[in-house]
Amino acid sequence: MLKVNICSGTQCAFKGNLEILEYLQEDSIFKNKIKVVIKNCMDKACRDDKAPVVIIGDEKIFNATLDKVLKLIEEKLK
Amino acid sequence: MNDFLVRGLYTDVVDIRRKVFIETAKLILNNDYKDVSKIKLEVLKIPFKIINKENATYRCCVHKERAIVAERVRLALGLPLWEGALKGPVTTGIGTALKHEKIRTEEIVKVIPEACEKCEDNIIRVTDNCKKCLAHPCSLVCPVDAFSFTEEQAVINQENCIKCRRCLNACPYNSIIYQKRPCSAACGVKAIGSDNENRAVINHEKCVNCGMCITACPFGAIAAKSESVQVLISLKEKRPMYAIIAPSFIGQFGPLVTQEQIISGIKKIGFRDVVEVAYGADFTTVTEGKLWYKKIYGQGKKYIGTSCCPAWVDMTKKMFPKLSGNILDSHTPMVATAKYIKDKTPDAVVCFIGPCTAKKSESLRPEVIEYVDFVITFEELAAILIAMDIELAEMDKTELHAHASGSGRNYAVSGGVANAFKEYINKFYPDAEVIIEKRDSLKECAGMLRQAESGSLRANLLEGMACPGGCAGGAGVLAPIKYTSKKIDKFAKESEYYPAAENPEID
Repeated sequence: MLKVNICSGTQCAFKGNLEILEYLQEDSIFKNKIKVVIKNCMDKACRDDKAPVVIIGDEKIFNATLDKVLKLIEEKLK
Repeated sequence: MNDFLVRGLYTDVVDIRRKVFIETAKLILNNDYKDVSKIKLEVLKIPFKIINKENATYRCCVHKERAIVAERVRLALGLPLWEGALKGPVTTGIGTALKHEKIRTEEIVKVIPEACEKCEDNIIRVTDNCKKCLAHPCSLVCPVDAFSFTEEQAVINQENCIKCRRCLNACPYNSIIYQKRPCSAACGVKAIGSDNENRAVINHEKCVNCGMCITACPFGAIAAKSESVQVLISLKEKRPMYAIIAPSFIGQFGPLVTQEQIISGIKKIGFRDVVEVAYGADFTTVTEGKLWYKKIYGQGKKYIGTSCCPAWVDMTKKMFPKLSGNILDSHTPMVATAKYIKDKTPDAVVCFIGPCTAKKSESLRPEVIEYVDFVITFEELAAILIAMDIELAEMDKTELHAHASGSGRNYAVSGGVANAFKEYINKFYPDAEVIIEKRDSLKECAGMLRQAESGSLRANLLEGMACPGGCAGGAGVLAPIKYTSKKIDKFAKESEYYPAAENPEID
């Protein structure tokens, strides 16, 4: 099971992570293959305008967007 | 379906809108707002901060993208659109926005003309999926000879087409589509027309400021005027600011943030206190529950509509003027809550924070204007929190003022208002029978009123809400609609008491 950590700190939540979270939770294609974990502000990784932050496996995505996140999950699941 | 998908995604439209709110908040926080010339210089920088690439991403060129951002900044400041240099530079009128009172105007939801891509409305079109088949059932079912065929595909002569849509169902390749403008498709009061350039334009005589067109336009061409700059100035001037927060606030700022932390965060911005609007909802349930009984059983009215959604109330007034006597008009939860604060603290300045753009219009009503000084959305609040670098997860979990009942907290979801009424009426007027009919989009609300008008509706309590799912689906929300609805339900159930009448602060 691939772990997807989604930061839900105020910055990250406002800049798109709430939508990424909702999308992954509802997605039927990755169902049973990924484990979505909601995290509270991961050591301010978002500082210097890098919000939102998503960590897939051990890889951090800064300025995460849905397409970036889906692409990396797809790669990691190969 | 389409609407839901656009709304559930964090698109570049949302991104730019939120960046504008953050930058305008920083403008006031990081500068002396009395230094108008400095503010003007800083305002001119915002489009370049937000559109900071060399090449255009969405439009013809970066200059156009920046010009559109400049218009968004004007609306965020509370100003009218610029619409060209003939009346002066883009910073014209900024001095009038830099004060501690909001700019009053009925025109809240606006189309930014440059941003409108003039998409076609109400048109039937053949897509490139057409195979120019031998059977061509499309033209066979066409009653007006609108079809002709090029070498590649079928073409519809728009002058002949009567939009009967027979061809849509006949095509074996699903190659024919019916296209409505996303904005006018989302508008339940038919307020969106076209100007002479074929750009969308809002008829403010019909518009009720629900904001659904803002969420629907994929080009971000529609925006609402904000009051957050004037709120920030009021806070900087240390006016006695009180926030009243709509029941849909639960879950808006991330799943791990508690309601107590949200309230602590709002206080950290500089508000003296925060009161849940669900308290006012309890007041509304009790006073309007009584009124409902009086009107149905005393005055022989056949049905009565709820008052809390301003877009629904305004739609009734504008589209069904004869029925306005059937809609309750006592104090809405927002007004009741503001009044509760001003009765205790007469010099209080009250700011409503909610999901709703129509509340900006309600706050201008003559009977409301003295109670509610400002209205901002959750989105505008979050932008202020971020501009001030406030992380809600780090806030105190101080005690929540238990001002409200569970039924009051449930006002934010479709059905919640009517259910609160029913519970109250059943308890205090056991002889009365409450039959509920509810709708949660203005188009459907209008349908409900038409049915009521024609006498084909059995219901005697009509609940109208303009947004999908109720307030949880408002134009100014942050969290997904389904998620918020679940959180509200949980929060309502965990309340100390559920029925409105058990709220000890309600007479």
